[in-house]
Amino acid sequence: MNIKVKLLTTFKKYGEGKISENGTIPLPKGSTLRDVLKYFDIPLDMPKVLLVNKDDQQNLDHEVNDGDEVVVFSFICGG
Amino acid sequence: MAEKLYGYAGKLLRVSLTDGQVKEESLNTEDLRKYLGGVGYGTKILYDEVPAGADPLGPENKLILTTSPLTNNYIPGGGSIEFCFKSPLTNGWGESRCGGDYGPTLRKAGYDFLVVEGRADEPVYLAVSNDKVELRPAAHLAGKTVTERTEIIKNELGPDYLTMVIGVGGENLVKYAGVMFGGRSAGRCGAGAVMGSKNLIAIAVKGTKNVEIADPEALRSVVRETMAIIRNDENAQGFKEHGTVGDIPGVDEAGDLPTKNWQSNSWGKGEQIYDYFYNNNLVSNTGCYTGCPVACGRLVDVKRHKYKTPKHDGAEYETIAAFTSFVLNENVDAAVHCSHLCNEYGIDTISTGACIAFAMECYENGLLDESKLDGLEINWGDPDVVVKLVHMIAKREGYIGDLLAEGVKRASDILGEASKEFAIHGKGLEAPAHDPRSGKALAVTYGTGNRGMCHIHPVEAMAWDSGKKTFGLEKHGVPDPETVHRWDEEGKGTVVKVLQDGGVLPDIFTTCKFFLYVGATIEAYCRMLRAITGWDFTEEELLRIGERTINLQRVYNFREGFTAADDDLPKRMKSVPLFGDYADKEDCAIKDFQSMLREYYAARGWDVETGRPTPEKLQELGIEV
Ligand code: SF4
Repeated sequence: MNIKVKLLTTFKKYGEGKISENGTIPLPKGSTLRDVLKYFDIPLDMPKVLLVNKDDQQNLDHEVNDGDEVVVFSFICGG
Repeated sequence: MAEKLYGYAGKLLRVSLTDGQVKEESLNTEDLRKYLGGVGYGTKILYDEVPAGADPLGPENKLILTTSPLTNNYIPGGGSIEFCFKSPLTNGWGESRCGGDYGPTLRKAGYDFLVVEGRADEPVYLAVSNDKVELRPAAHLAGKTVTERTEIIKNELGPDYLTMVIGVGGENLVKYAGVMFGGRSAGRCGAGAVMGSKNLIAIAVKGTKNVEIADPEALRSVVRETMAIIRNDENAQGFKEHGTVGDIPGVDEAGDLPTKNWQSNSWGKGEQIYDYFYNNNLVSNTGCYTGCPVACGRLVDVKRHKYKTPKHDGAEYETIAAFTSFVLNENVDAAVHCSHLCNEYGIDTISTGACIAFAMECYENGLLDESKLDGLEINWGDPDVVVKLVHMIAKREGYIGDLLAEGVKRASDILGEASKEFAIHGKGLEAPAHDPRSGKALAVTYGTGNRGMCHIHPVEAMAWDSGKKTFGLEKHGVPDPETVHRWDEEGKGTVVKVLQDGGVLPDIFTTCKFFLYVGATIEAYCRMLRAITGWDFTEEELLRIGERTINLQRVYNFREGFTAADDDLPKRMKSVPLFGDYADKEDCAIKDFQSMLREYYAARGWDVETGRPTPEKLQELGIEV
């Protein structure tokens, strides 16, 4: 299945060369958010915000489905 | 014999502009222990000294510059100053922080606090050097840019003075004029207009004194420990490389980017805006005070074409959002140019951008016709119009410049009922660039913020709800944010009480709040305070000081005529966005804000119907009214 992924600002570097032109990555069915992070070698304990289809999702065991959009960014807190 | 005071310079300087009198006063130790410093002690002074109903632009109002025992360059985030005053924009509690070496220098001159009162007949500036205090003529500074004024004063006094100065905006009493320290600003709530109303153009300080520390060795050890944590912190690295403006792509995705005067909470252009900025405008990072280990500031420029702009310290997240997404402007060079103009005029970037967005929507809806616009067509997204309006506001030029210089609340009072829907503010302060539809704890802090809807006090709620951060407040009852959904409403009022009590502490410490996001904790600051003052502070006591301060500010606001109705949010901010990624996400809308507020009032021990601090609560906190 294909998952659409956006890695923003401080996470951008993890995606270099790993995301297809249409913004997706291939993952086996049944993959979780943890698998998405592992795909990019993003340290699991790094502080981050995760959105799945614009929904706040912090559970790394959350299963992702074909066509889902995952956004990863760090909370820099623009004040 | 009076108790020996460690960690404080030990004096308050009082300057009356009306008769030129200067007085040094000793500090009230009991009040210091109850309010510590910064906006805590500042609230106490304002409440006690400025009479109820005072005209914010009259001689009765006071400008109170505050520091704390933590205001030192070697303390993590310790280079700041806090201005306290009655706000001419909101008619309520006003405060404004500015980063830089100015706060520590005021203490080196021998003063923890500086109170300026009255009104001078002619423009003057104040020069404070160790114990020497002088009022000097300033009429020759009229009409000049902030940079020019700062340079002239430096030439007159000598290079070792640090100067905070108002610009043309403050002179013209733009209600949201700030006080500038180079490219840094005590920007919000109109401290610059208060100075302008007093005919006070600048305050320059220098000093060479040292403050005695109770236990220097203990202080060194906790500072060293905290600095090591900060240096290795991932977020600190992110702040350094991307600054606050690096937040734009993330907030756009998260539904946290107010767009087109709050018609939406996402734009879909955040990444494009930031990439352009990063590749074209960003020159390097910078720290606002000497020694800041994070240095999130941005030195930026526009190299060519019509928005050519010299290198300056500016273009923070809020500023870039205010001049792009607020007004639908995709031209980042123009936004950077506006950042520079606001700095040189000394007007608040957030309020300025918000006022322009308000005007654009009024124009679109036929509430502002061309006769009031000097022939300008103020369409969404037109960068030339945005730049032109910045000039007009600062100079109060034409009907529209003069109108928008009043802020959106007053402007909508003038334009009439139909424009109210477009005036997005809290207590009269224009809303900043974070959207409570991204996480609803922010809604409660926006509504109940004592200075109005600002970008400093609410961020702890956002950092917890959306950013999943706790800054060590779990042990004081803040739940694990990973277990909470950002769109839940129940429980948010309760958690906000604790988040605010902790989140106000940096403004009492006059430390930079960002340090709480990069590894400094309230516990670490508590240890520093113990070492500096020799007082046996506990974290609980500090949170209590935070709570006391918030309560006294609330009492102050109620005395000035505010009620629970002023805690409500603009309807648009609570509604499903009109367009963008979240237009089909019903859950992001705020369904029952009144219940959220009632839960908050209950957690605060306030009357749940009127939102007023109860006599029992005030007594418990030792607040005498
Ligand atoms: S982190 Fe940024 S805002 Fe805070 S003191 Fe350092 S440079 Fe200033």
